[in-house]
Amino acid sequence: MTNGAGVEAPTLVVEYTAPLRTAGAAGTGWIVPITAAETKDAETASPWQAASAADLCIAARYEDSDHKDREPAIAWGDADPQATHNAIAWAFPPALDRKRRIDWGTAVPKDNGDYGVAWIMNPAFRDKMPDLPWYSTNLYGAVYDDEAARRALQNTDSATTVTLFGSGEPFDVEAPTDVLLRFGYQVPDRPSVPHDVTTRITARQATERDNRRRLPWGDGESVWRNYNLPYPVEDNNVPNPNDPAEQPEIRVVYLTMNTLQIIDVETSTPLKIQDVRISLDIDSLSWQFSGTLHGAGSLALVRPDGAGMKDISVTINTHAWVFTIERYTSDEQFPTHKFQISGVSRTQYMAAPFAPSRSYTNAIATTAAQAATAELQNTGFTLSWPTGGARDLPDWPIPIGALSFRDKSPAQVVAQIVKTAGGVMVPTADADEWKIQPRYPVPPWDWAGAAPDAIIYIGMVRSRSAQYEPAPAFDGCYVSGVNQGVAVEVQRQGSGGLNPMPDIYEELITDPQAAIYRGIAELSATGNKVVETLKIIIPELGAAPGVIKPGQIVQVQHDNPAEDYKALCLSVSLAAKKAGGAEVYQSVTLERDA
Amino acid sequence: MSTRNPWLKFRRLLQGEGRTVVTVDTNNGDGTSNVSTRQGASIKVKGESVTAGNKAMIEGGELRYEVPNLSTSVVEV
Repeated sequence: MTNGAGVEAPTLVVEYTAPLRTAGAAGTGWIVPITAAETKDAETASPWQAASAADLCIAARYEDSDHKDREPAIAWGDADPQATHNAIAWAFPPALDRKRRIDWGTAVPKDNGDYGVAWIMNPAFRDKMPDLPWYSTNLYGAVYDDEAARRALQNTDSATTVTLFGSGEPFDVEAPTDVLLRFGYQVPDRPSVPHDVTTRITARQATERDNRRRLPWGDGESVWRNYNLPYPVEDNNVPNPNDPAEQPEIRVVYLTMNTLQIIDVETSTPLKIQDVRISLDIDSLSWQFSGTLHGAGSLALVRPDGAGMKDISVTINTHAWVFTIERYTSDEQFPTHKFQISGVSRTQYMAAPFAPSRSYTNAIATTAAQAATAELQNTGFTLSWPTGGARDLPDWPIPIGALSFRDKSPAQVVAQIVKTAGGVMVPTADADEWKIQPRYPVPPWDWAGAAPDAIIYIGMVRSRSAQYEPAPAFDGCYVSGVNQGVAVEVQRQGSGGLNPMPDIYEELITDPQAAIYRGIAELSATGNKVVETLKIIIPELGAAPGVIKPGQIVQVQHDNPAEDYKALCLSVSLAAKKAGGAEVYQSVTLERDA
Repeated sequence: MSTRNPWLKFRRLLQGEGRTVVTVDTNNGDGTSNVSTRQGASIKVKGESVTAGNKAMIEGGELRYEVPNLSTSVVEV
C-alpha cells in the first residue's frame, strides 16, 4: 500500500508455522505467509440511481386531422351513353376466297420412287457427228476457186473406165437410153478460209487533186532563226533616261502666271480649295495632299461616305495629280465656313487597310519583277519597272521558296522586293502606277560625268537652306542572302573594303545583281552629306524643269559653271496659296556630298 | 542614308543591333556560345542551338538559327 506521498507503508507480517503432515510423508514444513487480506471491491454501490421515467409526459401535440375528402360528390352527373345505338355500318365481308378453286389437280409425286434419278445420265450424243464435212479454219490459206477447179476438170481429157454393175453381173448396154450418166463436181471437204484475210495493203497515197490551185499568198518566210521580228512593235514611249535633261530657260526675271485647277473627278465640278500642299518623299509610297476647302457643298462632293473615298484632280501649271480624300476637319468660326481636307494619291489603295493582306511562298521559280508585278495583278495598279537601262534597277531570278511572306499587303511585298536591291517605288502623280528605280540611279562618285534628270537654274531659286548631316564613310558593304542565295562583298574601287559597314542580310539576295545594286545603294548613302532645300518656281506650261520628282539626279546650274553641282532629290513639296492665285512654289530637298 | 520620311527616321532611332552571321566556335554548356564574326572577332553570345563549326544567325545579340554557308564573291564598284 502506498500513502498519498507514494512512500511504502510498513506492513505487519506474522508467520505461522504449522507442521503439515501427510500420510506416509516425512514431516515437511511448509511455511505459508499469511498477509492481511486487502479490501478490493468494498464499494460495490452503483454510482447510478434509478432512472426517472422521463418519457411519461410525452403527449401528442397534434390532434386528429379533419377529414376533408369525405364528400366524394362529383360535380358532373353521370354521362349519357351516346354510343349505345351506334351500329356497325359494315357487315362482315363475304369470304370471297372461299369460292376459289384450285385449277390444278393434286400434284403427282414423280420423283419419289426410291428417290432415284428420274432421268438418264447418259443421253445420246445428239451433236456428235463424227463425219464433219468441214475442218478447222485455214486462217492464212488462199480462197478456193471452185469454179476454176471445175473448169479445169472439165477441160482435162482423161480416160475413164466406167464399170456398170447390175444385179451382180456385168451389164450390157443395149440401148443408149439404158444408161443415164450425170457428171458433176463434188466439192471436196476442205478447211474453211476467211475471205477477208489479206496481206496486202490496199490503201495508197491519195492522188493530188488540188495541185493546180494557186495559193493567194506568197512563199512563207521562216522566222525560226530570224531574230528581226517580221511584225512591227509599238514605239517605246518611255523616254530614254539617259537623254540630257531639258535646259531651263535662263532669265533675269521670271514672270509666271500660275494656274491651279482642282476638280472633283466624279462630277468634274471645280472646287475652291486654297492653301494647297502636295508633297512626296523618296521613301513614301504615295503623294500627300492637304488644302482648305470652302463651302459645305464642296465638302459634300469630296468627303468620304458610305461609297468610299472620293477622288479629286489637282493641276498646277499643267502638272496633274489625282488624290483621294481621306479626312477633313471643319472650322466653324464665324463668318468663315471652311474645312481642312487631306488625302493621298491612289497608290495608297494597295496598302493596308485598303488592300487585303495575304501569305505566300513562291512554289515556282520567278524573277523579282515578275513577283512584284504579280502582286498587283487584277488590281488596276501597275508597276513601271524598266530593267534594261544603265540607270534601271535590274531584274534578278528568285528560286523556289525564297520569296515568302505572311500577312502582307501588295505594297509591302513590292517594297520588300524593291528595297532588297536598293530600289525605291516612286508613285506616279496622276496614274495608278509606281515607277521602280534605284534609290541612286547614278552613285555619287559618278555624278560628275552623269547626265542629270532635271536642271535647276539658280535664278529660279527663291530661298535655300542647308543642313549638314555627318555620317561615317564606309568603303565596303557585305550583302548576303540568308538561307539561300549568294553573298557579295561590294567594295569601292581601289579601297580594298578596309572600312566596311555593318553587314546586310536579306532573304531575297538570291543573285549577285541584286547584291551589287544593294551594295551600291548602301555605299552611296554613306559619308557626310549636305541636305539642301531649294524653294523654286514651277515654270508655266510645263516648261523645264517642271516638278522635280524624288529619285531624280538634279543639277543646280549657276552662272559660273564651276559652282554647278549635282544632287539626288529626296523630297518635293509644293505649296499654292490660293486657287488661280499668285504664289506657287516647290521646295526640293536635295542630298549632295559634303 | 538621309531621308525626309518621319517614319524611317523614327525607326532608325529604335534600330537594335541588327543581325549578323557568325561561325560557332564552341558551345559552352551554360547557355552561351563562343562565336567568330566574319571579320574575325571572337565574342560570346547567348544561345547554344547551333553546334560548333556551323554558321548561325545572331539577332538581337542572341544565337537564333543555323544558316548555310553561302558562296562569297568580291565586286568593286
